[in-house]
Amino acid sequence: MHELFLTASVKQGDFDTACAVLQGLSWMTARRTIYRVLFFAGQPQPKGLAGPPPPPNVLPRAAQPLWAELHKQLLRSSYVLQAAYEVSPETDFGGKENAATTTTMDFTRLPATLRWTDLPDPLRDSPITSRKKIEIPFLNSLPRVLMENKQAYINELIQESYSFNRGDLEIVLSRYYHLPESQGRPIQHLPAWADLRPVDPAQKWMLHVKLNVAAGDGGGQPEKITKANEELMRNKAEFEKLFDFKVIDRRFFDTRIAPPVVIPGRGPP
Amino acid sequence: MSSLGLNQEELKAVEQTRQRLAQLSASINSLKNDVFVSNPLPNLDSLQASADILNHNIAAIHEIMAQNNDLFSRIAIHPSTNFPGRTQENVLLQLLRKKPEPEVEAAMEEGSKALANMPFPGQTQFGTVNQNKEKEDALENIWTAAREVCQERITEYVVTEESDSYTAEEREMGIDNVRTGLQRSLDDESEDEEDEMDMDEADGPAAGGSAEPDLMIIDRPPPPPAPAVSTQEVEGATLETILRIATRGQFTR
Repeated sequence: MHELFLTASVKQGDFDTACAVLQGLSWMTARRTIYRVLFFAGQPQPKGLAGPPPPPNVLPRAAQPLWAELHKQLLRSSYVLQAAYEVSPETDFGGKENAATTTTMDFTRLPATLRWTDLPDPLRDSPITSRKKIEIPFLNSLPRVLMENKQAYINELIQESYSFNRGDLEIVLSRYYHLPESQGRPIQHLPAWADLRPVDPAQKWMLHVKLNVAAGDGGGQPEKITKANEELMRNKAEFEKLFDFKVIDRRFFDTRIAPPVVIPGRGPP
Repeated sequence: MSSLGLNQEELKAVEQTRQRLAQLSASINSLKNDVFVSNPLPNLDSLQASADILNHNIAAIHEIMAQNNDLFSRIAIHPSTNFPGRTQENVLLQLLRKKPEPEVEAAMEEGSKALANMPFPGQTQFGTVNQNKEKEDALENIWTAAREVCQERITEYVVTEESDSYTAEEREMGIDNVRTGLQRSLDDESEDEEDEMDMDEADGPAAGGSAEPDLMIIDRPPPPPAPAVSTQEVEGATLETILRIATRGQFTR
């Protein structure tokens, strides 16, 4: 799959206005989703996914080809991978003092989405970020499967999103929160929602106006991507009266893990 | 004809003049009739057309007279020797009269007076020029005064009033009752930040699914900022930094 998107920032003070405008443009009220995102990183030396594909009770059969595709990508280079769990502020947050009323997330039982995104294509004077992505739905046990495949847990964040759809266009406002430090593992109890520390002290929102291009059956994808590019530019003409889209250097979306330093004289192993 | 002592050419000039005069006379008569007969007066277009015709006729006569000026100043008119001068004396006197008749003369004088009073551009008559100059000066004085007053008022506005958020009317009514559409006071800039902070705090719990999202919760302290980034309180992190953290889970590595 390929995704193309434009990026802008929306100030906290402008958030309600932005939502109202987007609601008018999309004829829908915003869908609020909150994800707990666990980040994993592969070894510097790319080895793909070492283990066999997870059994069907962990990874549905329909999603098995995606696993094979991800394996191919991870052979070229190691990447940062994301495991996203949808959470609810009412039941999943509350800290230790409210442990009785909130549930502790059991990663071995909860469904999650494994997200991988490639380094975006070069911009070529376009404000559109365009990159490959793979999203694999897991029924359960995603962190365990990742660790078995030599992907190490590094950190976690909370992602709060408000999304709108207009035709194929996906408009997402999101912002991120830090979770308290924990030694090399996801924390046991999520703190109270109000105690989350925003990644951005000014609590800005990030706006993505996005189009997805499904992986074509064989050829035709470059044409589809060109078409999507044109469609996105048309939408940009409309949206840029409202939002100040920024050209983002693709290095900020770099998910690759730097390969090990090659010692001169020995050559690559 | 030879007794007149005029050659063919000269006779033709006289004859032309006669014809033109006859035309002019006819045109004048026609206009006169129109003015007398029509009630109300002929419309403006028709009068203008008549004036054009008269003007044309007069111009034609003028041209002929100018061309034959030499001839006309030379020839003299006298009655033929066999003209019955005694019986037709009145006609003879009228025909040979050189001065205009008194009423015509009066009309001519009136005409030249009217002409003199007409403000033709470029006409150099000292009386009218002085008059015009006075009028111009008076007008200029008025406009200069107006300009000065305006400038003074604008300066006063820029210096003292421009920064005022309220109109004089609103001030009279009392600014506490003015509906600005804002929660904060327009005058007090320092309240600004506090208000924004309040809104932020209120947003947190409300977004977090509070039972009453409209309730403003103002006594909860703001979320503690990261020690390293506390100086970025106003602008916050850059978009790129946020994107990088969102992409990789942390800024480094």
